[in-house]
Amino acid sequence: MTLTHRERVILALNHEETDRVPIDFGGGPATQIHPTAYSNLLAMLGFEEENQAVSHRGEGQVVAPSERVLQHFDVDVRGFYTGEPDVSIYRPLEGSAYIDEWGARWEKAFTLAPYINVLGPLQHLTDPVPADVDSIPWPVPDDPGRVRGLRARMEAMRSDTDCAIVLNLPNSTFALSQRVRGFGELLEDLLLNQAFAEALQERITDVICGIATLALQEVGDLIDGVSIADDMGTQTQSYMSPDLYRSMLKKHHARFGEVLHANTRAPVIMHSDGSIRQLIPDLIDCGVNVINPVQVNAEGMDPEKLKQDFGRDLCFWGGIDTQQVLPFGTPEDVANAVRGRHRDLGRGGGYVLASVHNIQSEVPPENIIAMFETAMSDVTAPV
Amino acid sequence: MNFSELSEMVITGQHIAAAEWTQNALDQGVEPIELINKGLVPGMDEIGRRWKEGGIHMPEVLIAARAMKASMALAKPLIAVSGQEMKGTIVIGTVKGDLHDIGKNLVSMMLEGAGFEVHDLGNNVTPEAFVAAAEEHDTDIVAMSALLTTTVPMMEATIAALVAAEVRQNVKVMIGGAPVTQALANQIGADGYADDGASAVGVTKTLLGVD
Repeated sequence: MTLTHRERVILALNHEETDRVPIDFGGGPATQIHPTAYSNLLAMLGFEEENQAVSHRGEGQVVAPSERVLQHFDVDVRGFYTGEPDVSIYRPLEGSAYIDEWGARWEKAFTLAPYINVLGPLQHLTDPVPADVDSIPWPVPDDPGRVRGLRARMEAMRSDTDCAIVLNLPNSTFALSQRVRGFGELLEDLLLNQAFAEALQERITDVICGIATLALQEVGDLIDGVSIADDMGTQTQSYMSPDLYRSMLKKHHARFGEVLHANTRAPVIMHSDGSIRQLIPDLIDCGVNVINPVQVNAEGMDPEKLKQDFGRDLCFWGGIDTQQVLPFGTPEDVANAVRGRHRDLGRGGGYVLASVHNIQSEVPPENIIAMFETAMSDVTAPV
Repeated sequence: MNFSELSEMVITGQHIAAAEWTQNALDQGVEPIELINKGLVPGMDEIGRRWKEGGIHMPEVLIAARAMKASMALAKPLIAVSGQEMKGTIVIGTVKGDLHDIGKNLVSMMLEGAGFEVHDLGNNVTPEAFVAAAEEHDTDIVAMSALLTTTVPMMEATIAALVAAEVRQNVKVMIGGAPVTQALANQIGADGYADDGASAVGVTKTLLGVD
């Protein structure tokens, strides 16, 4: 039986075997491609004319692959995002910099470099107290700009293709708290200024729950996955101990998870880079059904072991290494990685294949083609 | 003085207590270098050991470093006066084109906590700025970080600039960052590579032949 792209994704996320592993390329904010790598890919495919209609995202640092490229690689997923609010404190600054709707300043080092948030609106405080949370303006969750046209665009995709649809929500409690307060500053607050950290995280969770409710009431019935993102891992360990996670952050993730599940029947996909193995049981408690990107070369993220320990409760989305294999490996190394993930993470279903992070500029087009063509052709059911 | 009290304040991240203890000790005539080597260094050494073993995470490391820095800020200005020297001088930064600095900051604070003189140049540091700082500070080690695979080649460019300025033969070069490996260090002619902030201290000591 031939599966539609959507059926393939739905079955896989329901822990069932499929004819081949489902493929994502460009369906989420971390599975896209750098403009340079994309241009090289188009040249190798003989699709140069697609360069005329490149759709830049993230202020130009990544591009969304065109529909022609997605169909060429038989990609199963299409991603959507909430829109910009009508009313916001966002403003561009001199040079390559801007202030986002949370009041954080972003800069980049060169034209095609990724933007980095360099200063949060509460980062200057040395000993913050809960009242400081009220000292800055906060985004309005139910601004109609966030969902304008979203349903119509999804309905068009549903009628034009048979692909699975994922709604990507903005960052979650922890990443946004760090954006507002500063990366290291928030980590210190979790131990030294707990009342402030609690007030900040509570306020941010209010906002993101509001945005999620607005978006899911609009399109919750149309989607096959809802994706959230909160980075919590370094290369070697989680940002915080499981004990600190449970005392300071877990309740916010649990509340967000409840809001998501109350407003859609689609599974919740959570993105966190790095080594997060120690936190996975708690994430499952919070209603996470799928983790992305499965950074396989980080400590404790061995795919075989993850599947064995959590595969009954959790699906996996990602898994093709972007630090060594894609940029520096051979096409055969890439193909081996794809076959390996199909056999470990894909055993019994529960896996969608994608690069661990956005495909970086120097990744050879041969390796990108090897990744997708191997996934398309590796149809042997995993043993 | 019972320097282990100061070590314990560092380990438990009590920055206010550490500053008070330090001021009191200095007022009583304790040599600042002795305070650093017997109080701060053992405290941060223990933090590094626990972090490497995975017993603690970044929040505990950061508050320990904050306590260490609160004490160091009082002790270090007096060292120049008394003419005592730190273990070695390190110039550190994230290479040109890369604005990431979290990993580099962690390495920087671990090195400072191990008793090295650290000049942190920040991020997006040009090869010329690395060279200028290395010349200015009588440097033993130039340490470079990169997180973007795109900016890894800038490490090689910086080494080339050190060679061109005839500084390379006087310094050791250390590199680190998520896409960086020992193989890359060998390939571009760096002297040392460390996986993380905790191991960076060990690599530095080995390169300089100090304890």
